[in-house]
Amino acid sequence: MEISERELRAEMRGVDEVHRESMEHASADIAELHSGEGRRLMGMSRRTVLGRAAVAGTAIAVGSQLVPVTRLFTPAFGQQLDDATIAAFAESVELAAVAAYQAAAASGKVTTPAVADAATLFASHHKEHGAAFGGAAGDKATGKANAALLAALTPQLNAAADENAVLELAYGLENAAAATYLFALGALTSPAALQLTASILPVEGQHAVVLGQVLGKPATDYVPKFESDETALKPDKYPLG
Amino acid sequence: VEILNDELRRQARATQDAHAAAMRPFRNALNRVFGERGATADAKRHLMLPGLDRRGFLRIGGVTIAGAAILAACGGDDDDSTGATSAAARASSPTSASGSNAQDATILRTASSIEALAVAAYQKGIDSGLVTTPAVADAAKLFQSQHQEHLDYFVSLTEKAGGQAFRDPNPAILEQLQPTIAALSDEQGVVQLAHDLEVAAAETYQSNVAMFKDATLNVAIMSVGGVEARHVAVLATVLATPPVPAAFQVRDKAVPSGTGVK
Repeated sequence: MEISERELRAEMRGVDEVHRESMEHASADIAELHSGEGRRLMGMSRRTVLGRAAVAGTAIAVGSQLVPVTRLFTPAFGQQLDDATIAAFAESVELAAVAAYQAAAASGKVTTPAVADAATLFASHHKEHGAAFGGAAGDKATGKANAALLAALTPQLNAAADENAVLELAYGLENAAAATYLFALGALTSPAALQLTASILPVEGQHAVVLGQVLGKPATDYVPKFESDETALKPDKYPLG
Repeated sequence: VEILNDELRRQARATQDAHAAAMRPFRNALNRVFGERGATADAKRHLMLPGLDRRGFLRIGGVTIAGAAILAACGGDDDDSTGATSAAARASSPTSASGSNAQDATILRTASSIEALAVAAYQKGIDSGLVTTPAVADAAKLFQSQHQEHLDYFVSLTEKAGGQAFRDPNPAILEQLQPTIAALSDEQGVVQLAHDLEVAAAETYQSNVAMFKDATLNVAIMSVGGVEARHVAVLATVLATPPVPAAFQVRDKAVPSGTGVK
């Protein structure tokens, strides 16, 4: 199911209006995480992050190539992390996504205005996600994009031949973000952190849907039966700087 | 899924205002069931608390619908297990789980009932003859099949938690939606109904996170919730509405745990 440029532009305008309205509420939520009960809960919680089996041999589309998951993503998450550290990692992932979208826009490879508008909107979403996770991370927030993730993405962005190749990269990144937050839901413990993550995961998936539609992918590709954590980004592969 | 015909969608937009007016009763019903505003505390109690008060519920809905009519509206005529009578009977059945597991089982039974409702609603749409765009029909079939898998998944999790599986469309929600289902007259209406049900499902599962005693269920519920949100985005595209309406998903339309299943 594809969407035309005109339709995409119209939808993005509508999204932007709704988005601005919703931020009135989101800002309050973020403030709560910064200084309210949420932060207290985040700071207190700690649990063992269970190692989880990776799916060897699985491949995902990143850029124009199919890359084995094991090359990009860590097979296990066998270390102890508290909620604040996980939130800080999520912040770094979000800020890397912002940087990636900005780099894509600056590359001149995104030539369709509606696609550029969508990329700008999605980047703004990621910026807000980063702020929310940063608030949840408290003193552990870095305010920086994940350097290792950017180092992995940048060469692929540079090598992208055209707009579709850039969109493929974004599509892989959005799905990886959704997978990361599904994985995080199995590691976080505080209600505030869990709820924040659960409010962001679906949005990354929706970004992927839009990108998948623009790319003309089959619906079964951008609407899987179940969300999976197979392509989750892990902090031992992409450590905080 | 084939590309949607642009002309069809232009026509769809042209009819959107008329459709919005036609769908107003549905939205009102949804707001009464799910909304945080617009319902009195007494009304919400009837809707949300275990041991659903049928008379109170019907008063809130403002519609008196016979069980047979509900059954006819959502299919399953040949299968008594999907009937309103059996649904009502099961709705009054307690879970067999106890303690903390009972809470998890109730959430999972509610989720199951939402999935069963989605399966039935898509079947109604498919059988109605109102869905004429092949791409929309294909999407409906795909999404229905995924809801069936989600239902099976939640049923298995319910049983694992020691609860009694719930496989019927949520009787409380179904009863509220019946007038809208019965009034469906075009593809746009079917898609709008599907969209709103998907929104309710996605927001319900988000709201369930951190409510489980068994923390592993947070991942389980969102492995489904994320997919429902993707369904929302696809259907929103068909409706020419924002596919990603906000940076954060909200929970305004979440179905309270236990609605119709305790």
